[in-house]
Amino acid sequence: MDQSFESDPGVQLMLAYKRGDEGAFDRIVEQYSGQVFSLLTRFLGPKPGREDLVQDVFLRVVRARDRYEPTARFSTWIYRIVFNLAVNETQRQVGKEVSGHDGGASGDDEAGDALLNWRDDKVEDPSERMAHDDVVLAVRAAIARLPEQQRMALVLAKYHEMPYLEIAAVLGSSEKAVKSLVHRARENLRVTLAPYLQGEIA
Amino acid sequence: MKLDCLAFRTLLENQLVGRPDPSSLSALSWHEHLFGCGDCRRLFEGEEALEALLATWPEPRLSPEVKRRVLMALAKSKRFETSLDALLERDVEYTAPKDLAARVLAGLEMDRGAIGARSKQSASAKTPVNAGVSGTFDPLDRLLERAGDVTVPRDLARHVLAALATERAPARRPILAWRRSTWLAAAAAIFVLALVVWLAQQRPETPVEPIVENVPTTNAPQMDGLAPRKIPLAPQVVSNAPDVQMLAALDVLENWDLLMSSDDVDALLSTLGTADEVLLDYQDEG
Repeated sequence: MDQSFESDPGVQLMLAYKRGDEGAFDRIVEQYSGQVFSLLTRFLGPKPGREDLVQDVFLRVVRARDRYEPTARFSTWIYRIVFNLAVNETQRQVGKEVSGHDGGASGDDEAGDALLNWRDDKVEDPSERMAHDDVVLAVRAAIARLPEQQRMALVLAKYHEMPYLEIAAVLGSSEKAVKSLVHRARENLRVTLAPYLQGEIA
Repeated sequence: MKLDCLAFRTLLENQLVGRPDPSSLSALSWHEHLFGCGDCRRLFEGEEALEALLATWPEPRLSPEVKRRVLMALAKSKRFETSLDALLERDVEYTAPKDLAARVLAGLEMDRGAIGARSKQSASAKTPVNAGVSGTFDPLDRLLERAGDVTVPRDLARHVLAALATERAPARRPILAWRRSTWLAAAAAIFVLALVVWLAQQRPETPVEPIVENVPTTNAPQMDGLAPRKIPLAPQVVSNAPDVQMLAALDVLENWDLLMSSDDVDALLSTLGTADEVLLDYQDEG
């Protein structure tokens, strides 16, 4: 076992679960389901079925129980699962759209348009109410239009405060590549959000 | 509005100082800010008139003296003073955060390749580890922060656990799972054993005999007091060495007269075929 990850609480819980402590898995779900849901929402947008995807993520954790080895922080490990699942979901969705529309707009564009048209009338939470702000919707749509790797790198760096080295582990890439991905994502967002950025400066 | 005045006058100043060309000012004459701000319009018109005046000079060039006058005129403007205050207020608004040092250190650590848990621990809990690259005061970051809130559904963990209950059930009973696999292994072992036994039973137990072709048999003639014997007649031996049983039979044939009457011998000889005669010749040669 890599000694540097021994102190990670998530790794300790997963190892306890591997040894047969069922309660450890309950604590894993309690502690990480929110982060998994947030990451999925930021990556895929507020599409329905996110809770099912959260279940799929933890289902993979259950199935990986016996062969789990702590080669990274637990959050890194589970985010990698989330990324693979989210990419699969995106590609599945794109395949469905392509077969349905016989070409046309890309999946990312579809996701962005869906975000722009998205409204939830049953929102009660203040943060969700804030999501109705046009600027917020525009930002989310711009993020949704980013290529998958750029999007995940940006979301992890910006919203999950993850170091580039760990993002590289999630994406199966190098630290330099992640720096480049984040930089390109930000440049793309600057172009897409230029009107809103001028408002911010004023 | 104050900031717009500042922005406009900065723009105007840049036009006046950087490009002393009256046509450059005309580009600003339709600036939207002038429609809502009388002070700036009056200032602009004054500067435009001054520029027009200067344009009449043989060599229209903004001399240091004119430049000083323009700057002095701008400095005397009350609105400009107000805008300067606004600028100072803006500066106060962006007072460096308390954890700036930690962020700078985190950013430097990353650039030096020493990132990871150490850099994360050195910064405060809310400090973006990658702030050194992304830029803390970047307007893009402020936009992204506005859009970053996600509301996690209530009882999400409970729902997930409930949904996974069936999937986790086998994992909760590892002994049962072990027994199941053991049973499978035992059943496979029994099947293999039974197959081996069956194959062993199917194998013939009789010893291997020498290869002969067309070995007709005939009953020996009924003799007094003796049971009829089955005598192999003139087998065609494929191998070079004669068979032991065949030689024993030939020994009996050599002593026919001891066992049978001459009539019996004649009867027996009448039953012999060509192959038997070949065999007898072989015996004589031996």
